[in-house]
Amino acid sequence: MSAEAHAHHEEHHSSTGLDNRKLGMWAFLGSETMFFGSLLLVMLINKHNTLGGPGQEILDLALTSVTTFVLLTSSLSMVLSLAAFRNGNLRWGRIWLGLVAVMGLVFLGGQVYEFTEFVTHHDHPLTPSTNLFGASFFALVGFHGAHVAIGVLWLGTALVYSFRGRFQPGGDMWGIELVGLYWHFVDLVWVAIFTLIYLI
Amino acid sequence: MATVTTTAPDTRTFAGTAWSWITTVDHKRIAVLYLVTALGFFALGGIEALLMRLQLARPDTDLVSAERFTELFTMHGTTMVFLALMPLSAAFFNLLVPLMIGARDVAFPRLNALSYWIYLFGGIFMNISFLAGGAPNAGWFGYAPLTATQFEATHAIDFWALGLQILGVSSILASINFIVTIINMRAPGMTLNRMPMFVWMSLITAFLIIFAFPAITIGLVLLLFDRYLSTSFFLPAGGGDPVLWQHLFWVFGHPEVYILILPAMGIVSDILPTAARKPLFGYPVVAYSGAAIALVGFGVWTHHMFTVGLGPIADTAFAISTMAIAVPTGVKIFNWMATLYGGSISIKTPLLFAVGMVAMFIIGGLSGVMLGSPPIDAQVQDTYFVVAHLHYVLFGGTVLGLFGGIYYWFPKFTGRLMHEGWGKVHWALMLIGFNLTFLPQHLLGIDGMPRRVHTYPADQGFELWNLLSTIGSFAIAASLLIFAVNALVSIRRGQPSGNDPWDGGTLEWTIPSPPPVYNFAQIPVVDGRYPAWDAKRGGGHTGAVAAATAHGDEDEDEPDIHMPNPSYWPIVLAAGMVIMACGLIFHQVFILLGAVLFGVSLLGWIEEPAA
Amino acid sequence: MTHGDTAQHGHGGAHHDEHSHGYRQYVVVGVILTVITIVEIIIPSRPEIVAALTRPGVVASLLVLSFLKGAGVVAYYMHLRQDSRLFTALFMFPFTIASIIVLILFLFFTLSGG
Repeated sequence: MSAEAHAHHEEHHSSTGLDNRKLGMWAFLGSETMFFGSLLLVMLINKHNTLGGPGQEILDLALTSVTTFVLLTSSLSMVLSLAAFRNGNLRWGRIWLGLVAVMGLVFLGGQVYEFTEFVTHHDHPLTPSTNLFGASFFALVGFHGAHVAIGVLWLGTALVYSFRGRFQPGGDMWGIELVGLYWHFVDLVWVAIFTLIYLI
Repeated sequence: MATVTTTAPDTRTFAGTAWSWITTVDHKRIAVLYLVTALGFFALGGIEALLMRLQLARPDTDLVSAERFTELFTMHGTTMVFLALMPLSAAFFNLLVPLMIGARDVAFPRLNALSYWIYLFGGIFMNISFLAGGAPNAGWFGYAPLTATQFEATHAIDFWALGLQILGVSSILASINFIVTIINMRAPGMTLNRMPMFVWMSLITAFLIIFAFPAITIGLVLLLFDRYLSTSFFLPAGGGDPVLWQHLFWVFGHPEVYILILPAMGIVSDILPTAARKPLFGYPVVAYSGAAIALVGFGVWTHHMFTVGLGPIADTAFAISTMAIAVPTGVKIFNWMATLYGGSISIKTPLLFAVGMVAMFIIGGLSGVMLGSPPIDAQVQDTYFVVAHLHYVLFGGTVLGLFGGIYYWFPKFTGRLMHEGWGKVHWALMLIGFNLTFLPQHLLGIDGMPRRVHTYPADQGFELWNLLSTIGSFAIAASLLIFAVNALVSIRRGQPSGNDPWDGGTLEWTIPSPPPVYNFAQIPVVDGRYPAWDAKRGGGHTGAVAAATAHGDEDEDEPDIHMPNPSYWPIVLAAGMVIMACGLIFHQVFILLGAVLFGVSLLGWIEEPAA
Repeated sequence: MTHGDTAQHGHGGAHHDEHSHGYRQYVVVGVILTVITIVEIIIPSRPEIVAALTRPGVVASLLVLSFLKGAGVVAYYMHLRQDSRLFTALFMFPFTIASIIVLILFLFFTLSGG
């Protein structure tokens, strides 16, 4: 239907009119749902498996609520960045993009603080080897944190490239779109983790 | 005529030739790399099997030690599944998918090269274990707690777990690449319902891989946690549960079975119409039954765990879903038979392998239905009956299908035919040897011989069947030697094949053999399922392989064919990844080294112009 | 002038006009997501609400709320609402399989008493 229109601004022909990289990204995110699904399962079945040691009660809901809001807001910032770049507003595109990276770092900082608190607690330290609650928690939240860290690196790279002549008005925006999809997905996973692990 | 622009290395010297292979991003050359590497690992896995068969030929033998025997069956299974059969299928994806859908390359050529190099290094990494203190030895499905540090303190299991992680990355990247290629790179007019059946099965297989592999990846991550961070995910002493590993493994493991068989089914579905000179019978049904097999395949995993004791409700439900899979499978088999029915069949080697595949797969499928019944499974669990069943589907099904594919498309790779007479000898000897090896194993299993035992006493009535089985395995080996010699001689001295030796109907037969680097001088316009037949017979169609006009503006602006440039970043990136894995086994400094290599090559990759 | 996904769903022009109020829509969605999160945090932390809803009620309402949140992110921020259906299928299919498998396994482990 739109293949003809698409051919004008796309470098190569595609059967569906969709961008190859975006299609690949969605397939990858589909695969990621299975990764996080498996980890969530392991966390859920081990949630009360504490062997009398520290369990869910040590999770700091106040701190995590703050970092959750930060991550949620970063998603808004991300989508505003893409919209700004698309409107040809490089300046605001970069500002929003930089904010996403900063908020990602804040989230990671909160997580590092949380992990350190658990591991170095003087009475009841929680490490991966303390019990299966701890092991599952560090595996799941750590795996998610690694995704956030990769996302921050990716965002930083995109920001650098925006200063090196990419994402110009009228140019292609797939670089921003892809990191955006990835970032929103990481946020999405956190929505599930926050509810299932911290709240329920 | 279009000119081709690409900065190819100088291939007149040996170094130049080697460099051109190392940096290649051409899907056809990557296919050859996959094929040669996978056949090499196939030989390695075969030698491991022969050693086991020698050990089991007579009772009370001690030719290989019990410890070595566990390594042999573990590495035989792991090698055949992950290093031989999946990559052999990948070789066919690479060679055929772009040719069959009328594309010049895959969607992401460098990613394609990366998948190959990760696979090669991952395979080498896993096999280094033989030289580094002991190979993996917990069986190809690595049941907990055999994999626990407590029971295996050496790095054998780490080699296995890290190696599988590496190979998983390769498979997932390759699958994303082929999903995008098949969805997005089809020639004008090549609708989904006109794609050759092999392309259909490749698409379904790729989806199975990206949805199934994450489960084992997470299982392996947890296993590595258990081994490196002293957690107890799978250790009851620390509150863990070995059954969790079984679930995570088989949630992956059962779709994996279809990952292994569907490409071979696709190959057979394309060989049979050519051999019978009539279109595939019930094309949409064959395609959709493939999708149905894949879908239901996600809901049958606990049939590998009937004896775990999950309870009658679970066993009943999963027995029903398991038997339900027999329906779409049976549909395919009847469609293949109906394709041959009434055709003017030319009996050539590819057809013989395809028919052999169908016949042997029926036997394997029937024993599969038997095993799908919990009471029967409880009787023969962990016996040679299971070994016989899985070899009838994986060898009788996958291997025969893939060899059929090699004979069928060898002329497209090389421009020469394999020797027909020796091909038939190979087929006959392989089929006889295969049945001699594995048919008696059904009886051994029913008689109660457990699998994975190092030896057996003399008075159990196992001697004859084991001896026959060993003789059969050497017949298979002999047939493979015939194949190897035939292939090597045919590459140089085989009869020139021309472009279309079999009178094929799909797009790859409309272009030269071997295909030029750009595949199609002009992108074809397709208006049927068998465009090559339409073109040759002019059957009412307007010339299916006529010049492309669909995106004519592109052609007018740029008459040159622009092919992607070679790149060395894929091999460097893959090396960085595997060196990082080495860091978890040999010395931490490798982690740093690998990470630096990984980071540098990632940046180089981004900076390099993609096309 | 048309970028990315705009040309991909047949009504590219309409989307271009959306740019002006696109910002506003994103912010509105952001506010809604924030409100849902606040409600989510309040529900389990107030004893009277927990008493009124009972434990299953709390779990169910939290699951529904977080599902709505996730749907909001996917539909608006990841543009699935206006983008090609193919992307939706590519994502929702494995999501559904993963959910079903996780549910079955969760039942295995909880019903058998771990």
